[in-house]
Amino acid sequence: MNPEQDAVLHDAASLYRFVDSVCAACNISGEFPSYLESSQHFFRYIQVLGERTQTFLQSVALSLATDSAITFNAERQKLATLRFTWFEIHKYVRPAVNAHTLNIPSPLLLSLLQRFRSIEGLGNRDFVILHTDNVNYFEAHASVRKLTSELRLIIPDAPGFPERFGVIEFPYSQAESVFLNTLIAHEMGHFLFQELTDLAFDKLLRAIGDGIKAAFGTEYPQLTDDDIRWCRDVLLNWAEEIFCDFFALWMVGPCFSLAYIELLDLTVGLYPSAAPSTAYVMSPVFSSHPARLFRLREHVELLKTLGWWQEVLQYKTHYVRLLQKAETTPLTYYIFYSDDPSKQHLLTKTLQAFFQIPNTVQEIVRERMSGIDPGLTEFQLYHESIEQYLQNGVVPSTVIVGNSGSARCLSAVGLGDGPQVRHPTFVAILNTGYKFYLESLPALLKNIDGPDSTSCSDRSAWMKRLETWTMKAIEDSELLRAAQRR
Amino acid sequence: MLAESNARYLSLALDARKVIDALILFVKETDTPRMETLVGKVLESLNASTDRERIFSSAQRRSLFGDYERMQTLEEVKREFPTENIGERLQELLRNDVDAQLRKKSAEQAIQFFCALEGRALERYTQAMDM
Repeated sequence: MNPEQDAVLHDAASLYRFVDSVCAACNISGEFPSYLESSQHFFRYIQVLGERTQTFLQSVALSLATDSAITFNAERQKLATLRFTWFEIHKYVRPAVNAHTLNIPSPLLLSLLQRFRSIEGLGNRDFVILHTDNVNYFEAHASVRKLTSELRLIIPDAPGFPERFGVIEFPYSQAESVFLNTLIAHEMGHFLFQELTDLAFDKLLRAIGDGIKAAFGTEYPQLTDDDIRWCRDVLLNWAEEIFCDFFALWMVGPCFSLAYIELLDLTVGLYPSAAPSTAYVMSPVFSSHPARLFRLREHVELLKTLGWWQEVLQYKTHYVRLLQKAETTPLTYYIFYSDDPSKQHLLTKTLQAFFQIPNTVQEIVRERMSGIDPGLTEFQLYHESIEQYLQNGVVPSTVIVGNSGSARCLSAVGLGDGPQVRHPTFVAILNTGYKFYLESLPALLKNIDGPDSTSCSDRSAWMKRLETWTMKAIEDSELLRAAQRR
Repeated sequence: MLAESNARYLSLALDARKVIDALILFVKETDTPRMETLVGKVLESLNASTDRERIFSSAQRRSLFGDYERMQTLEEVKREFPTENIGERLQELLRNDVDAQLRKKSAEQAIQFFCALEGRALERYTQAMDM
């Protein structure tokens, strides 16, 4: 072995060792902690990928072409690409290890998964759940799948990342939260977006193209391809976010909008102290996401389409005032800032182009979600009963309907079915729980000896308790409904 | 939210690496069909990148240079090779009527171009990584 080969062998061994350390972290044998099946699969996958990478590294130094500097150097550079790919994989392992079943909102996740699987063609899909240090929610499926499928082409016999798995990251501290975690539905939307057919994707790109052409008008032919590609990618990013918002609203109802408002404290937008203070909610901070208030405006549009809006208007909360503000804010108020000096001439028109696109996004979501009940009827049937249960500190997994005095009288004379036991689905429980959380917490505290409804800490403690009841109701209701189906 | 990271540059590095590996196998005379398939795809992506109408087609999802960042990186590397026309070089590689030694030389030049692309993508990926 010549000195150059020996040097490469050293570098390969260093990477071999690094891969070893990543794979060791995937060793989750033993009874505790336990993991979702998707996570177990993910760990096995990383281990096999590691083994294949190491097999490749074993032979790399000896297979180098020593007669050509060009090929020798090119083969050496492969080690750098492999190393950084493993750096990227490294990012996902610890968050997956931390997200064992006691550290994730299991009942909510299982309900979301069940609903996701009821969409046509998605019956076998699953999600690997990861923690993140950020107080935010992410979908990492596309980058994990892309990286690993590319790795497969440069490492002999490396396995591809299973197509059926999405990868979702949620804040490590929020395992007990049920309301904020409804945002997970949006992340599931990213997985669905990546799986859109070419037909649907073409439809979206056509709308983006038409929007750009209309906004730039006679300036369009003068734009460079680079400019157009930049506008397209900004609009595609924004359209994907709107797609995921619409999908989430269909999946879980208006509680998604409420959670989005809560996570980002968007109600601050109701109290502008000066014009720039509205910038937080009005402008897209990154080219990856549309303006927050505009997103809420589109939420209202879909909630109207789905019939939910009239119900939401009954909620007695400042969150609804914000939604109304979003609905009525003129489009001319929105501003697109970018630090990139080479793109300043594109910003205003790109934003104008975007306003044309949500209708097409809504059409695509409606086509994809065809046959999926948005959950409004059930909410209307059960929310009063669920609220009554919560008011009395009872977990609302089983409610009795038709139990009013008049309903019982009608039943006694053969009209109506009389009192009936029902197990509401998680969509009804979640939306009622969130409604109650926003409008009835002070009343609940007044009914109980001890807590002070004007105390922040008391309120916080009972918010937590309310979320616990809601999570428990979701868990029990799913079990009871499953038992009924058997 | 989509994960904000430089992973898209790593993805470009891996795409470039696929092509480099195939070109190396061709130079070592162990696998020509793989090179032809991959080089064909690269040429298709290069052609699509200069066709304005295809900017709004779903085909860009599968293109090596479909998104803005990838295209920017490609353009930067092209500027580092001012005398090289990578499209013509790759077309030569696909021609069976060209002398074998000449094809090998073309492959080596293409290897250098794609190594530069891979290297630039790795540089972008690791930008936030320095200690």
